[in-house]
Amino acid sequence: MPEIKLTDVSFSYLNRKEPALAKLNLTIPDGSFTAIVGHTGSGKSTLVSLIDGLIKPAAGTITVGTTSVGTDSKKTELAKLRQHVGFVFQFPEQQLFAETVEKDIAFGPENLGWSEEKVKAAVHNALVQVGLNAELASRSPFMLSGGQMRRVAIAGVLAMQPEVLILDEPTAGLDAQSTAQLMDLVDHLHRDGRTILLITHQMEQVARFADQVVVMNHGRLMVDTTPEKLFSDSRLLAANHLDQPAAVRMSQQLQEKGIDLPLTLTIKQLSEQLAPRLGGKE
Amino acid sequence: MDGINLKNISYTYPGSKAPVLANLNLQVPRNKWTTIIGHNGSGKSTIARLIDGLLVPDEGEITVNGMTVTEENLAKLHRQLGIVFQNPDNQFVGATVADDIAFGLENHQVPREQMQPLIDDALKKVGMSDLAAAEPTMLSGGQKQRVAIAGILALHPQTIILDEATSMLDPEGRKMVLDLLASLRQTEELTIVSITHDPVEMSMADKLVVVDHQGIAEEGTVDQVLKQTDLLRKLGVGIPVGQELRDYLVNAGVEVPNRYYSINEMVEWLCQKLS
Repeated sequence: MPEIKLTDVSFSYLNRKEPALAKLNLTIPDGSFTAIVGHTGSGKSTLVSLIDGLIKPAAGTITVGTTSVGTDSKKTELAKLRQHVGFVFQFPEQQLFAETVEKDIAFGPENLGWSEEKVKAAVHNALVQVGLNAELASRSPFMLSGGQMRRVAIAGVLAMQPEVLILDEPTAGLDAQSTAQLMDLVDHLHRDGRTILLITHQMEQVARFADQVVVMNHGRLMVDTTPEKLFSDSRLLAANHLDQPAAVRMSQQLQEKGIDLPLTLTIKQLSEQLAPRLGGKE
Repeated sequence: MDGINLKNISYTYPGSKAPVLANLNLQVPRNKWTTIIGHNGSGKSTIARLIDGLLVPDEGEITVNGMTVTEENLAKLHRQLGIVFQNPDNQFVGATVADDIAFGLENHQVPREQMQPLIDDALKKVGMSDLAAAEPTMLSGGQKQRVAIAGILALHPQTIILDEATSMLDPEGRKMVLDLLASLRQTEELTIVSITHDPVEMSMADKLVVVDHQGIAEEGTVDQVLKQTDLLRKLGVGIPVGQELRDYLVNAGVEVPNRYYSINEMVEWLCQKLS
């Protein structure tokens, strides 16, 4: 299973003065759930595009497992990164194209040159993984609801069985129920051993799921830490335009009123702290 | 009659067997903020489109401040009512922010010499005066939705409908739009109708309406509707944070009064109990 390592990586887009990424060093351990946060334009998407080999670094090296790429790497070498990595883009349902759900999901695996049988099994497994009924396989993806279409798009990435899964704002525009279902799926994939890189604006998701969090600002990596440490540092949050999760805000408000309480990251943790003191169960 | 009134409305989409709305009755009070919630496909957006005249009901009648919504009345209706849609990128036609607002005014035959003050005034109201000459592609999602709102305000409407207008924005953009609406409701005489899944947006309303099974499942004040967390869960909409904590505590055997708690109210209740 692959570790991801970026060493002194820089990248600039054409016609832009400021580099999109400057001298970035980052290690993402195998099997981690890493959240990447920062305001719009901070370099989050550039960072994950480099890890997926979609763009080539202007300086430095990127290693995923045994594959390394640098400034001299050819397109075929960049493509090797993609053997490890699956990328779910923002609003991925906009890229559905095939006439049936099954054909859409099969597109990626077929491109990998897999046998018909292997593709069929991969499509079936991916549908099960994202919680879509097998009956939908023969339907047009365009007749599905927004939440279902997004799950079809994610199934198309999962069918290629990537060890590293990158998700760019996977719950944007979804209602609360679809959001909860999708995050449960990502959590499950992580427990199954996959490395997860999640770009998100939802600090609740960082608090609840991530074990590592990377804060980007103006193309620079500001801090690489744990959610506990990030959310207890209100100055660092403000400097990077990040919100506190509601549970952190509430536990701080209670602390300020003189109630002795550790910092809690989720509403569930906060309740577990409070319930015994209010006559409830442990 | 003031406000928006939907009377015995039924609507079935072409090609669909079951009606999305059947015999629906709804009153939206004038100069208040009414929020419509419900799961995807419940017919929330259909209601917005019927009020705006984009769709014509199969049965029933809709009036906006006493004027019946008919094809002949549409131009008149759209001078006093505007919609902001979900995707900020699909709402721009002008090459600059100011042009975009001018385009809307042109559509309503506002004479050219009257346009500039209306544009300036509308951009000022949404806090975008400095960006009047900016290209729309240079704006953030939240800024784009502010311009969309300015385009409506320039016509001095009586009613604004927001159809999931904040759902594709990042938290900063969403806050930007909600702060704007909160200040407009103080300074302008506006009827606001918002369709949303966002618990923060829901809690800002004067009246909450739950749409389910082709009609209205529940309506009332924020306190009355948002305390029904089982209903909210069933609908797939977000649970306000204060309420989420209340549910966890109740499940752990703590006695908490059965009412709606905002975050601050929950903190206050906890402080009373714990100190």
